[in-house]
Amino acid sequence: MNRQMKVVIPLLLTLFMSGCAVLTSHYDATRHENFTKLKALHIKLFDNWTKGSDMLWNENEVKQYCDRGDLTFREAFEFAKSKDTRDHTGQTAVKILWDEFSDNCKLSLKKKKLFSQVYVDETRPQIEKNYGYAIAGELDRVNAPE
Amino acid sequence: MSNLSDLIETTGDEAKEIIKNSLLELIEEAKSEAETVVKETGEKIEKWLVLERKGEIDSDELKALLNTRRRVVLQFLNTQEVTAKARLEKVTLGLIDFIVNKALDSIL
Repeated sequence: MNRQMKVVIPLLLTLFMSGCAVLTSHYDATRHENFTKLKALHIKLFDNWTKGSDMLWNENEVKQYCDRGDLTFREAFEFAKSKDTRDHTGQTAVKILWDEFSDNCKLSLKKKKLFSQVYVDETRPQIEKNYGYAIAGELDRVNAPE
Repeated sequence: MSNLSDLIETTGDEAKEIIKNSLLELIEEAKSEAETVVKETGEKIEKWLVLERKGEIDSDELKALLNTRRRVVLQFLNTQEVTAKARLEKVTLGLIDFIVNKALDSIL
């Protein structure tokens, strides 16, 4: 065994032994793009159906928007899952946002009226923060653009 | 906090009084934490409870806000995991690459 291998093999072995637990999926441009698209779709739910907007609350329209949104989240989740070769952090990030969107839709359909402005003023910054964390995580991954 | 304390009525019920005091203590504890996400969680929950007590949001909206906050914290933790793992990989593989490509022939 040459000198290089004597130094490198123990380092690689150490990394490999703890690898399954410590490695995370690398940066993926499509997953990054999906976060920004999902954010726009999610925020539009509030733009459309909050008091003061031009829209009137309409059950069919809300259901249609939520069903289409659900499919988009499902596609993004399955994509993230296919790229999570080392851990589950990619799909977890999408699932958290998907659950949020689903709950927002459920609230609208349960109340059968436009979201109140006070509620949206409180919830929207939280949702934007959630996407902010998800995007920041993607940009922290190995091979992310500088 | 006294504002929220005044707004939560326990009508002399001892069990309710205990729950109220525990809630107020937990909120104060969260608000005094140095970690921003914990501190902000305490502040937001206090604000939302006051809004609900004042009738500016209803109980469904309060529950929705609490679940929204739960998911913000979960996302924060997931991102922390990504950041820590990615950093470990960058540092470890960076070290190996440095040794293989530069240090071995130069100084070892």
